[in-house]
Amino acid sequence: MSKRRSNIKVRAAFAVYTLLIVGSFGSLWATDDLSFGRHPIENFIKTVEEMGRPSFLDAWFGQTNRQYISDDGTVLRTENPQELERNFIAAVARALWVTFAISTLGTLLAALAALPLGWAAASNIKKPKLIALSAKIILDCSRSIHTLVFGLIFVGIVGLGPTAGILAIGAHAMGTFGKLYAETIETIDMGPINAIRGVGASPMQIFSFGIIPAVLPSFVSTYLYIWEFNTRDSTVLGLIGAGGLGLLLSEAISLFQWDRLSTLLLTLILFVLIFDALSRRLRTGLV
Amino acid sequence: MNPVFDVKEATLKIDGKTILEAISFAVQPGESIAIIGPNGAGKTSLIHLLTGFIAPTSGEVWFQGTNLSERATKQQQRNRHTSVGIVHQGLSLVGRLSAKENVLIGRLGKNKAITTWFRHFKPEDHRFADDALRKVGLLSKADQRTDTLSGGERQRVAIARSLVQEARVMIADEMTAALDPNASKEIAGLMSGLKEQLNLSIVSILHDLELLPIMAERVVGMANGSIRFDLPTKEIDDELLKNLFTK
Repeated sequence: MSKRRSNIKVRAAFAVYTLLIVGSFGSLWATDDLSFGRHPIENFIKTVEEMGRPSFLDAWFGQTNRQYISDDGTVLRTENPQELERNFIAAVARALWVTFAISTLGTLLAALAALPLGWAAASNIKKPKLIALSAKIILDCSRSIHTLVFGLIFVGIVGLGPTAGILAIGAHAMGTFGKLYAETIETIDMGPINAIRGVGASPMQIFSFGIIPAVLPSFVSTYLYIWEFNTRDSTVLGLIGAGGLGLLLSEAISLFQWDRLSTLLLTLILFVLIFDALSRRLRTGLV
Repeated sequence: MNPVFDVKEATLKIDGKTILEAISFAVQPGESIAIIGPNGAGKTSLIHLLTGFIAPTSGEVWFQGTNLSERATKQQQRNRHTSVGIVHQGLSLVGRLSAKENVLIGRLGKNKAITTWFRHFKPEDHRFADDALRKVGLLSKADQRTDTLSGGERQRVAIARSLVQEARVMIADEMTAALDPNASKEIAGLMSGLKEQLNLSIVSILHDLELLPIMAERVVGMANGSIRFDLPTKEIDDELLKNLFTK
């Protein structure tokens, strides 16, 4: 392609992109949907102030005796904020474990379900066209429907709780796994596989000696990456009733408990950071 | 005695283009033949015909009394798989497996047990593998991953893999192409020794013409899809080679 034609294409792409930005902004502006509310700055400062003191600090530095007194001086209720926050931290830990369990089991489910689909979708594997096409359609559908949408569907089918979360993670991640499996299989060096076939090996022997060693490092790396991604995804699943940390997030937001929201977000960030670091280390070790 | 390979008037056309034209030649038991010729001469296609990887458009290819051009029975296919050891261009070893595991792959045609799916082999298979690695001088590196071995060592693993097939025929497709001159001579010497020791028939495509006297008793010169000469190695002279590679 000549340099001049290439330049024209780049300019045309840039012009289309600019039009898309202007169109998006203009249409939202025209319908008055780009509002920042009535007191954005005050609200922002207030939120930062409230979130700036996470609730978990109260477990050690909070009051030990808080009283709620009515206008006539009657003590309506007494509570120990330190004890309350300790209980909340325990609840966060339990929810965190549930979130982790959802992502772990959902990822495993997806990885297993995607194996035959990825195999069928790989273009260098001989199989009937109908099978290849069906596998590609299933994987594309799975990838294009968001985990949250799958979550809503599964909550409707199996009810509230982690089971819906596991199925939602499994259904969405299956598409990603399948696509990455297929890409890995497509890049396999066929030389060793043809050589193994050439000695008269059976299909299972070819799979064990030729395909597994070629794809395993990449599959494991993909598995860790998607697992890492799913731990983040599974935290929001609680928002739609699929259990775990998201449920507490949803409660804190609904009750305007910004200090607890702050605790939850810090927990989430710490958890994701630790998991990311471990996963990255493992993946690097595999290469 | 039947020839190991007997190619009769084999022609190969792919997408209307003639790759091989009316090729005829035979390989006798215990004979070593080198196929030489410029790039695009059809050497690798001829090897593919011998291994049954592709069938000729017309003509016949016989292997130990079986016509490969016809639909072979499962027993005939297995017989061919286990009787022909192939040392591929680019070696085709599994890098993440050890040298011994790669050699054991050569036993898969003979041992179909489910345990082999999990890379468990019979003691007999291990004996064969150890013996083959000893023959190629690589027993001390049996447990080393193949992708950590040198080019020459990998070549030895590929040869050992063919040996454990108990193959009576070995086909080598440019087996020394990736090796330096010393390693090439070493591998050629090894092949020649193994041929004498095991009475192997060897068909090899060779680029390094210096190896002809070590590797082959007979030389088949190919150009443009046909055989230009088929002569004992000692009758090959510079003039013949010059004509083959320049025309």
